Amino acid sequence: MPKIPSFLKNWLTAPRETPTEKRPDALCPAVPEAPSLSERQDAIPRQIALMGNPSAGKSAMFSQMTGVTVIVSNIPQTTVMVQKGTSQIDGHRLLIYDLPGVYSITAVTEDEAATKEFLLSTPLDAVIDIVDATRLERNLYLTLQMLELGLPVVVCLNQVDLLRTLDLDIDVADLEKELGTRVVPTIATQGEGVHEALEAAYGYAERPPKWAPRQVNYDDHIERAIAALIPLIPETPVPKRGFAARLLEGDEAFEARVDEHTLARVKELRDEVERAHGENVAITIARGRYSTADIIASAVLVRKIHKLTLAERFGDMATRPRTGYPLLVVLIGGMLALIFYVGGFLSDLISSLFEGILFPPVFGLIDAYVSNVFITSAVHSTLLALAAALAIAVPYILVFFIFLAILEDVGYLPRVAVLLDRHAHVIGLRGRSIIPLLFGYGCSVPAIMATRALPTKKERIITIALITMIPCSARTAIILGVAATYAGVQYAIAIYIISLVLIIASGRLLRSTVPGRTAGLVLEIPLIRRPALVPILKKTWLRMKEFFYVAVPLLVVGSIIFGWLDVTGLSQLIEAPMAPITVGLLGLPAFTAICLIYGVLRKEMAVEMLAIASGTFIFSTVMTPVQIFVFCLVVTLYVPCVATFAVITRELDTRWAVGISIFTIILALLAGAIAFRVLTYAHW
Amino acid sequence: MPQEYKLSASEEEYLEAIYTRQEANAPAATTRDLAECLGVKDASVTEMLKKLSEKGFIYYTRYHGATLTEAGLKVATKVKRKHRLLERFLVDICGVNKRESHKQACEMEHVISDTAVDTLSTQLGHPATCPGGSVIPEGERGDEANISKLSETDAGTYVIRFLTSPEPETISRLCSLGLIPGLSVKVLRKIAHGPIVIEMKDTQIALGRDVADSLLVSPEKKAVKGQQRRRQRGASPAAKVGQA
Repeated sequence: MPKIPSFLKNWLTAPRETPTEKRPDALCPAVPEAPSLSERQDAIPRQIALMGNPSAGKSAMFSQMTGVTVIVSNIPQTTVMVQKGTSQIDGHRLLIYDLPGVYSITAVTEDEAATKEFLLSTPLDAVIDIVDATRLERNLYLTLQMLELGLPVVVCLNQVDLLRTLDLDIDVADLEKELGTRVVPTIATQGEGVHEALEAAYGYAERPPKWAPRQVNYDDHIERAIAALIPLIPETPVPKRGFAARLLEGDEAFEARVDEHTLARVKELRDEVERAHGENVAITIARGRYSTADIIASAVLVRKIHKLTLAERFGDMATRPRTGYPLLVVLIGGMLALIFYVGGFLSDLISSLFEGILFPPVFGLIDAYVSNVFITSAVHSTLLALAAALAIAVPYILVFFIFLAILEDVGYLPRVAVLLDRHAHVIGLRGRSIIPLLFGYGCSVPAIMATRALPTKKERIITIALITMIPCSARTAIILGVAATYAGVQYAIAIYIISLVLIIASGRLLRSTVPGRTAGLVLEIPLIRRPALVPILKKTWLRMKEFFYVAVPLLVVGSIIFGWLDVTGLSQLIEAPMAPITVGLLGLPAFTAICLIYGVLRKEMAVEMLAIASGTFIFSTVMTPVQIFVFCLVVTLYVPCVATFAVITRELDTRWAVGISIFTIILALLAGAIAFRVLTYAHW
Repeated sequence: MPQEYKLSASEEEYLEAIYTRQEANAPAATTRDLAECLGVKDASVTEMLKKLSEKGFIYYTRYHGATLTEAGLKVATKVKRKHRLLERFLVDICGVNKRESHKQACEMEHVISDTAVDTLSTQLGHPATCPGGSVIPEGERGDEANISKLSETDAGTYVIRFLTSPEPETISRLCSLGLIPGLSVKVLRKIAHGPIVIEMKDTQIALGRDVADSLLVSPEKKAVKGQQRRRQRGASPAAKVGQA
């Protein structure tokens, strides 16, 4: 007997029920007796799962249905865990699960295994299948697999708005008949059809589809084998035909459900089919599903003569080297310029608001009426902290996140991955890693989480290590807001170039030291989509929210403590032992020691605390350009922030987190020390 | 170089056996498989695989097993074609029974010339399958026989014939995306020293050079206008089922 996966144990040991006339709630009778649907309406909320191919629009649908904002990207495989949310329909509560995007329900990848596990272990009232209308045939493969498993499927024909731009048309009524399911045309990003889809899913039990679910037409050999197996198959919620096909395919989860006699017969039949076809029976079965999908798609799909649209031309441009590289350079250069000018403008505006209008009266009042130094210090620190957060960090980070959200939604990033694949080989990676690396310019934490989609451990380790060295938006705020503004643009550009050179050098080093291997690039390229304002703002807010809720309070508390350390003179105790490094090695003022420590909590706090420690936003008054440059360079490179450290520990292990931290500290100190000496001598 | 080399009958037998395993979409032919199939000792299999690997006919890694290289596939396809056509001949014309026909074909396949077998195929009316139902590979004269790596093709439409790779995971990843033998794909763009962008079923997919190396394809026959763009013979995905 094959080893039984743990998640199936419940299912296997539960008594085998005879099928009732209505469809049982799930493949798993772990809930012993499901109450009738009218009764359970109030008792248990109905459970609905969202499934679909990568980048078909599940996450967008999920956030429309539940109001829970998940990050929606035009990049295959961004949902890496099962998300859970609730929704309401006509006053009834619904539980909604967002499953990872998969191409099929087998167990080839980690995501597919997780999806199958979930489907087999959760009682579901309906499964909403998000089908990408622009890629109908390929998406129907999964739909047919779901129907074979007897799942209560409601099809959302998503992105119907894009069909027109591709000169395609789908007859929805015909598709309903062909599939034997409800088909709801939707535009998930705009919320169109979402309510209808939820309604159809909620009322699945009361209003089942009018037609029988579409069966896959297999070839004669397979059909004969299935017919021979059907009498041997136990009664389960899975239709016997689908069960038999799964057995022939060699699906372990189903093999575990039958006795040895049946297994022997399966093997016999499988050998027979394989002999007749000269290929693995799993391929023959897959071919049956693909050709059924093909038949359905050609029956409902109307193709008109298609001229390349502007969006498609843009997409082509992005992957063609001659146009792709200039485009990339223009976009990145434009982005940095935009962050510098727009961010800088906002930053000036906000800081002058604080310094000119808010500070003088408040400080005057406090100093006049309160005599306790601890309280005045706390008030000063709080205000300075708020000013620092709003004036230094927010403007730059906000502009960056908006820009990143646009690039993501448009579908540009996978094209960069294709374009840069050959260069990624230099640092031991493949194009697939480019996407997490680019995310790294936003924030290291989600970037590291996005590495889960990478196929091998070696690629994950290298990518994660390099992500920690990429200037994230917080560091961009430091580089542009401090180095460029108070030392000179050339210093900011130098920091970017130095970090890029060090990233490439480290990549080369890691390529030859990290054990394991890399797997070739296989990447689906999504269609170019027009960015929509609302999702972009939502996504940006979701990313900024964490900053306001976590970073700002942390900064306020941190600066109050700092103020007290200063008042009591305790700060000397920290600054003095670190002086050999800060003053001796790097040539920085002593008060930067505490800033560097705070920078470990969050990178941008290093500058915010610098403003607090030096008592001014105009850093050029307390530090020389070289000192500002060295400080920013060290902050950019040294040690990942606490959140990043934690996420590395979770994704790899503590050993790697510590190793990467030590590596980056050494790198930062070396780079800082060299930069300080070279610039000082050059100056002389 | 491998093309110049004249293979012995037993070397051809090995390539044929690996071909059969790969046709059944096994990730690779293991030493045990081959020993069983050819009725020889494990040790002699290992030795022969090393030899074939050195000559460039197979990829061979210990424990993983062997897969055919492009050169190996060419030889194996040719031998398999001879074998299956001879089986047809023996069964249909000579009235030999199936088991016996296999045995005799095994001997004859190594001596019959390419030209003779092409003529035989014509005489038999170009049968698509052998008596056991397996597909007979097409001869080199037909415009479809020029099998090449996807990475070496120009823009155009091709049919996937074989998946061959030193890494078994690559094969399963390609299968899960639906890139299976018989599918036709359109090569849209090749980025110099970089990935190849293909289109299949309205989807664009980028494949790295190394991955594209593992897809062996042949140019698609020009479809008659109005006809479905898939092939009518043998490995076509839908032809068989579509009529079912």
